[in-house]
Amino acid sequence: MSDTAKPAPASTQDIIRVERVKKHYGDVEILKGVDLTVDAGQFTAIMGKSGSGKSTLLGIIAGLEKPDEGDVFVMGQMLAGMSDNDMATLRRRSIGVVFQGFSLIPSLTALDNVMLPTFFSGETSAAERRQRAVDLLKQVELGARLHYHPGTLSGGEQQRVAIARALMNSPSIILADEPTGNLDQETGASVLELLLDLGRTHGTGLLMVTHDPDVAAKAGNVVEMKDGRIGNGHT
Amino acid sequence: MLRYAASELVFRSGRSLVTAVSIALAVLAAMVLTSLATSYARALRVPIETVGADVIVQRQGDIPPKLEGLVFPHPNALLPANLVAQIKALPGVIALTRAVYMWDLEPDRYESVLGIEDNDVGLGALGQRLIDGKPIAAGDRVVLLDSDFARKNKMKVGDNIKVGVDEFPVAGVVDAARSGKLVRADVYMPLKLAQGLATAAPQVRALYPFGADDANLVLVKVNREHLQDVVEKVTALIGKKGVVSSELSMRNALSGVLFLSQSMGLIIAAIIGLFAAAFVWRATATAVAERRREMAILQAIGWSWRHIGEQVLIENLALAVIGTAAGLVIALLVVLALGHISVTVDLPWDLSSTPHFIPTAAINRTQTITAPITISWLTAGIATAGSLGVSLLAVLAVLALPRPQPWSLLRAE
Repeated sequence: MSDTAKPAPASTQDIIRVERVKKHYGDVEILKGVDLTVDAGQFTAIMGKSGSGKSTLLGIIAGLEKPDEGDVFVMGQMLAGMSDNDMATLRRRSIGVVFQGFSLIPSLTALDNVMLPTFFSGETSAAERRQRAVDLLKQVELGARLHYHPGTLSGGEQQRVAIARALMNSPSIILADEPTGNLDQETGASVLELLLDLGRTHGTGLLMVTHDPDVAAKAGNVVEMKDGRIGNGHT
Repeated sequence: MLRYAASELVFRSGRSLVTAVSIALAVLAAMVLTSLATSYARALRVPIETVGADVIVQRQGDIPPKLEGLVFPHPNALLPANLVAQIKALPGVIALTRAVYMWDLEPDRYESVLGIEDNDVGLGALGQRLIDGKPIAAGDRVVLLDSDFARKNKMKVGDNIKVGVDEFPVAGVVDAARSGKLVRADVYMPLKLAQGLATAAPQVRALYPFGADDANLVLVKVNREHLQDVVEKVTALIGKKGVVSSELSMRNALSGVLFLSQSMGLIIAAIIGLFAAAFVWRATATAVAERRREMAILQAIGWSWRHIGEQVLIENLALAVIGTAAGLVIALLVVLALGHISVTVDLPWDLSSTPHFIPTAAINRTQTITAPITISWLTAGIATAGSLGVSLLAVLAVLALPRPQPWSLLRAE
């Protein structure tokens, strides 16, 4: 991390703290001053209609989108002003991401896709990293598909590879953007259960954007977004 | 990253193949064209170099009143001793050999006669090509015969041969064909002897005030860096009627042959290289554009833009290495298969040793010159550096374009 990263003023139990974040796309104001806190190990669901700004908020928390105003703190690090390298390091060490689209690299096998976030990790040996990737793929019931390319896997299998990849670096939190949106109901339910189980097993927090009330019902904290603002949530 | 690069290149095998092939073709073209051009340039020097000179100096003269006895051929007019001294003093001239070249025209026969200095270009060189008899030196009153001439006239060592009005013993027979045909003669003798014969020859005296130290043919060895300069200065010294032969004039004589100079070869190779570079840049730009979402995914899972740039660079460099290696190997095979280049030179009359009014003269007017084709390792180095450089620049140029916004490519809404 660079020395310019400022510590969050709030509790160190906060994995994510969002303060007065605003975002415009052209003349349209998507986020109108959002505040949000996500605690360690917590499953938080962000619900809202299309265009309510929930995915934009997730992108800003991931550091893949820049807010026009306001501050975002992840693991106590203020994202504003961080260099590209520092931001990449923060994501690599602390954040796992799962997208609606399956977002695997088509040229790589399932095993190599899971190992991708650790390509630049000098903390463990290549053999250890490979073993962890194999273990994770076994945990998502793809132990027999290690060397399959994404094109030869079903949608549900691809999403399970993506979940294994998100857990590869033992992140503090997984950011999931409609992870079951492209799956049929049954597959979606099993993927969700897997995500929640693994989250609990690995002690990883989960911040998930979803349309689905049934998914949200499993969350410890639900945040509702409406017209770029956080509405009434429940715990 | 290497594993990722290998997977990516295999996954996009069509694009990888086309890119590598375009690099290979550029390297191949550069190698083969420059090798051919270098060999061609070397072949052009062969006729001149085989007589131990870089420049042959002659002067156009007049036709003698009578074509009988010893005469100077039309392109071998008097070169006075003081003019020869001026040529010898020119910057870039390393050595100079004087000679007197004559035809001995009799009613029933003719022979070409060359008197030349006793040095490693003159009598010394002839001594090395002896196939019978013994070498001759500056003060001798004996001659050497060309082996073809001796065979045709059934002459051998120990016989006497009439040159002009005098007779001389044959001391040896030489295989002059191996020394090239430009100054080939039937009879060779020491320079002083030939100067004496020329001074006394009526048909020479009728045209020129030929002195005992004069010559009518000069072979000049020059520092190759000064070749052009020496040729220009000698041409200026001997005036309009001068005939200055060098590889430069040989090139002009080969007007019917494809002109392929070293610089032309390099220019053609450079043009092909530019097309290949443009293709590599376009292929890189297209590949990066097609992989925008993939790059967004890599950013989302913790790759920095620098890491992504390094990944694309590794992939491009791998293609450059594969393409360059393939191009070099194929070029080596092509050069090995070609072996040597052959150039047929239509010698102008002033470089031919045979009187043009002799019916068989046409036989001597063409010469096929061969030179081995060799690989230019300097070109190989330049081609390798060029292909790697092009690949590097293509990546830098493409990555310098505005970066994609990763979230816009990944978000669900």
